[in-house]
Amino acid sequence: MKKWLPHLLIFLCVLWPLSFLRGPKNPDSGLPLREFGALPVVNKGRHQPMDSLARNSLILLRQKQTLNLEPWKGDLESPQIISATEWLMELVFTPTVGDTRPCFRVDNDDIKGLLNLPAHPDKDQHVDGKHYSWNQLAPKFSALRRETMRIAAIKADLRNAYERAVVDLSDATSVYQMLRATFTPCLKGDLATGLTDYRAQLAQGQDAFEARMDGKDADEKILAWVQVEFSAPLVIPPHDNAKGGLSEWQNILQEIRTTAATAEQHHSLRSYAAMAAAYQAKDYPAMTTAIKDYRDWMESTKLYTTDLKKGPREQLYNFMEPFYRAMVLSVLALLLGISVWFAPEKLAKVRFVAVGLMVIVMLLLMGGILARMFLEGRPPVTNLYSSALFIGWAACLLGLVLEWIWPYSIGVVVAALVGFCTLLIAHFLSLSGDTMVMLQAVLDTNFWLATHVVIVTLGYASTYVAGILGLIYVVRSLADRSSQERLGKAFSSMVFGIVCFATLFSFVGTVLGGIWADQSWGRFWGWDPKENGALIIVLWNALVLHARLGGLVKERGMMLLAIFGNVVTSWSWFGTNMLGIGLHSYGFINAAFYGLLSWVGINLLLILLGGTLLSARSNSRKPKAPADALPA
Amino acid sequence: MTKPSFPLRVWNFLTSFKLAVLVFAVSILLVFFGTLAQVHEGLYLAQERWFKSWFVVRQSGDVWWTPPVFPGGYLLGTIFLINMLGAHFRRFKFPPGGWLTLILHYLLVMAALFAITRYLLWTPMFFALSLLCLLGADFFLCMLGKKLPASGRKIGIDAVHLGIAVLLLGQLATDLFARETHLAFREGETKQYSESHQDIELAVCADVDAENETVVSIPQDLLTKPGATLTHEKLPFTVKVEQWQGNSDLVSREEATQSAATLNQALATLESKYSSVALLPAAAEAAQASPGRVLVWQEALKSVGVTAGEDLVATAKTISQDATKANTLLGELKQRFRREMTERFQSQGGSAAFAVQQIQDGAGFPEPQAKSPVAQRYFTITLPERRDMDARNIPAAVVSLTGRDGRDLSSWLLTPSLKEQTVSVDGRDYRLSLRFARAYHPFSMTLLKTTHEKYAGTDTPKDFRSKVRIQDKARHEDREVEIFMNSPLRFDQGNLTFYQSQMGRDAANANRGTSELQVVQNPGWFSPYFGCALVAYGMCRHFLLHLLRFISRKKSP
Repeated sequence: MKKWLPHLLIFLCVLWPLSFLRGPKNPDSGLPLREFGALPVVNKGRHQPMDSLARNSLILLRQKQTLNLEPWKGDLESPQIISATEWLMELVFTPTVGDTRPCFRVDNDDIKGLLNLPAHPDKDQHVDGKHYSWNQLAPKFSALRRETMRIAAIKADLRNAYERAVVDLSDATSVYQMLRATFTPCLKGDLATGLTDYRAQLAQGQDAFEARMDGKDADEKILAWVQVEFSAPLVIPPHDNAKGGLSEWQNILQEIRTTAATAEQHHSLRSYAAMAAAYQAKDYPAMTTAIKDYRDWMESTKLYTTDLKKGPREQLYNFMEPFYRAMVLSVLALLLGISVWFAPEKLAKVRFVAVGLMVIVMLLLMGGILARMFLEGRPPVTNLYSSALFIGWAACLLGLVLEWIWPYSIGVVVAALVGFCTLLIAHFLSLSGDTMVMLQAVLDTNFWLATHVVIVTLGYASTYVAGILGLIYVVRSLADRSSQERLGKAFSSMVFGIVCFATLFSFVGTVLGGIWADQSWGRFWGWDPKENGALIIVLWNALVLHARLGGLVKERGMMLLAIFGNVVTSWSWFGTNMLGIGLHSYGFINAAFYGLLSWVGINLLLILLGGTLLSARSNSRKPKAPADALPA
Repeated sequence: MTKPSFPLRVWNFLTSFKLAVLVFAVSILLVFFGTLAQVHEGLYLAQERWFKSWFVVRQSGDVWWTPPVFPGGYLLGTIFLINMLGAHFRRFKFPPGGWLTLILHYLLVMAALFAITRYLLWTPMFFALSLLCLLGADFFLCMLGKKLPASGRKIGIDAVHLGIAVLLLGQLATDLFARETHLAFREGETKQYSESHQDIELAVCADVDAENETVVSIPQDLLTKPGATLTHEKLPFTVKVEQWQGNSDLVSREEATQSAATLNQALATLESKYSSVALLPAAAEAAQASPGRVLVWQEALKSVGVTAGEDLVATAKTISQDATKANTLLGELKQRFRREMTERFQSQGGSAAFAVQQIQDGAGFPEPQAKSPVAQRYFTITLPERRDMDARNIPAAVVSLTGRDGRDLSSWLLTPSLKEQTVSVDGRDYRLSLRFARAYHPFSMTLLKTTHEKYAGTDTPKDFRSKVRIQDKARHEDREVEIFMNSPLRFDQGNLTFYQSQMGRDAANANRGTSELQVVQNPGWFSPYFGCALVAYGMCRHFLLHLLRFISRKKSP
């Protein structure tokens, strides 16, 4: 191998994620995607750019952050794929066009039957049997609504696959309708007409509502319309009212309801109308100007500086997808790292590249996590998704430290393996929607999030690292008995050190959780499933340490015990979340249940194999005979 | 080698690593089983049965994996303590450094840890800093003399194990002595007491003067056995428990009659609406407006063998051609809507539910349970007692009072749902009530302002806090504080703590906020903090020493 080749490889792998720092580009037509995507909006209480709203909504609709306009075409026939923001723009400004786009993914055959959707792929008819447009769903929408009502009465854990799919699709349709209603009165070409019509419809809605309250027959259609408008995203920035403080962000319905028809319209309403008119006329320069006017106005008021700054930053974060890139690089590092095992001396340079890649992965994860912290104004771990990222990062770091002390290409493989798996889990978790949702009042404390949650997550990460070390030990020793002789001692020291680390972190983290509970609701320990899960990890790590120190197990035994740590940690991390809603919960967690089971199965199998097939090699680390052994 | 004597062998086993590992393993199983049991037993019951017990015995209704008998939390905790402390005792050796230095070193570390935790706990920065300083001083001491490292080496492990003992014993103390009550008030209201959510007391109050009253309260345990006779020196009468209902529902005779009339009328309307086949299309049209009613129609149609089309009216018109089918459909619809209506009444409980019973089963009003005037207007129905944590039981009691001179002072129906009732004895008024047990505090609290914020456009709570004024006349204390999530108010060196719990709006006045504070009286509150500090410090110290040794060994192989 040429001397400079490894360095070049690493350099290229650094360049790849960095090249995305330039941010998203507008298409050649001049459509101001970047500018529109950075505009601030508030949805579910979170201030975010349009870009995030578009991506997270599209994930709910079709589990992807892009939209394939021609899903009936094969991947090789280059179907037209547009970005989430482009889709959102089309939907909010020209709803009738948006309604023809196949943006709903439906997999369940019973639902296809219920809604009369074509289930078989047919290229000529432009049908792929999975993706459908609103226009295809709409004719039977009332049937979907009735089914949703019926299913709402069934407890979540008793629903079958069809019923869960109905609820998911129904949620997706409400998100879709909500988005479509974002700018309703601004789409008529002329804002004044649009507003007059809108007010008239609102008045009808009011009448219908009153009629229903009186128990009379009401116009359900207009009520449903009002309901959708009511849930639209909040796009009107707060008024700087005379009383001093700013009011909240509002959606257009709220804005119109709270201002008189004769009053001057909010600047943002006029801007949105201008954007819509330009978009509809395909006059993209005019649209760019309209967006710029709006931003200039926002800047001139000096009221929305945070929102204005946050928009482009979060857009860039979305665009860079640091975690996706880290995942790709970690797969590469994993393959390289494992290949080193076959000829350690000859492939020393390969190990160098693998370590280099993992350093990049670690830095990418750190950068991504820091970006999230910066955008949210929160400590690193706030929900299951971010805990997966954090475990990945911590495991990378630990693995690299191990690799530094024991340069046998073991630590780097652990880092790559845990890193890749946690990123994959994070990816699946992100399919359930926005990953930066606002926190409940109880959780709204940066101090405890920064201490308890971070430390307990470090405990998870280190227990996993010890467990994966055990797995590698068993697999390698099974494949090549000599490696047990050569590396046994190193493995033993690594696992012992990591288990000490894990005991410390899981214990301190768990007790800090107790103290947090004591601070927020007056009980130190409540035997709540999540608490119990953390306690089990502590007990397990303590068991491993005592078994080792008491001489009850030696090298091989400790490895096997460490592997069971994987099972224990997975139970605490995911298993307990599945408990509360029963074992038949929906969505990812349902699929995750089987994933968890197979993961437990793999670990148990390797413990069994290691226990029966490997020889119990004595270890010189702790030669002292157990003082308390009972005489035979 | 001679075989050790039996007691020695037991002692050896009790203090062995083997037992420690066994206890860890069994504890893990216990925690796991206990967690799974919470799914069907509920958090509270599972906790009592699995963790706060000596043995767990298999019950009917348990899932298949439940072992017949399993050691409970208390038993495992006890064995654990014996094993851990015994092991220290057994392996204790005087270090070469001499006992004086050792004791001094120990005392320094433990006392410093206690002081730091006690006084710097609420200032995290100083807390962490001083712990670091302590660690530095500790290590410095270790390195001071050549012999000292040996003497100080085990302090870490000792601190860990002592800390675990503190945690376990502290948790036991909490289980035994902690008491939880609630203080619910409206803005502007002042209260001097908090109330239990579970425990009941029979209170007899008599005014002393305009401001003060004497209260005699009889705890729940004495009330649950009918036939018990209770006396108290401050009461001019004896109380005899005639009847006790662990959970009850209060019914007003008047309201039940009214509800019955309303329900009867509604049912009659329903009857006429679906009285003839000709009315079916009109009814279908009316139903089409609400998805809920459409569902009922669809079910009814299904039972007569017709799948409902999109257009209910059209379907109804088609069916009304077929007389038999249409009549069955009418019957089905009537039955379903009728059931829906009665269920709605039933779900309201109390008088409305009794009205349903009156109409369906022809149940009449029962005889009055007691002689007091209130008992003539109200009566109570026994409900099954609920044991899950969130559910509140509303008990009811009938007591008869007999004066000191043997005079009959009538019998009384009491329940927390009723107001106080007055009995006069020798010209003095005594107010009787069955109420949730109160804990009186030496100070009063006034709710000044509540804040309840949600995130824009959602129902996710963002912030809730109560501003209260505390007045303690004895200590001349009068101050205002804010209590909010993660920031409770501590009193009496932490033994009494007020947490923000629920928040709402006054039922009578939507502009007036209400707040509920959770009040925890726990003399053992400090133990987890100190225990945790000990363990964390001990582990850091021990593992750090390990690491230092490891590094120095790596450097000089």
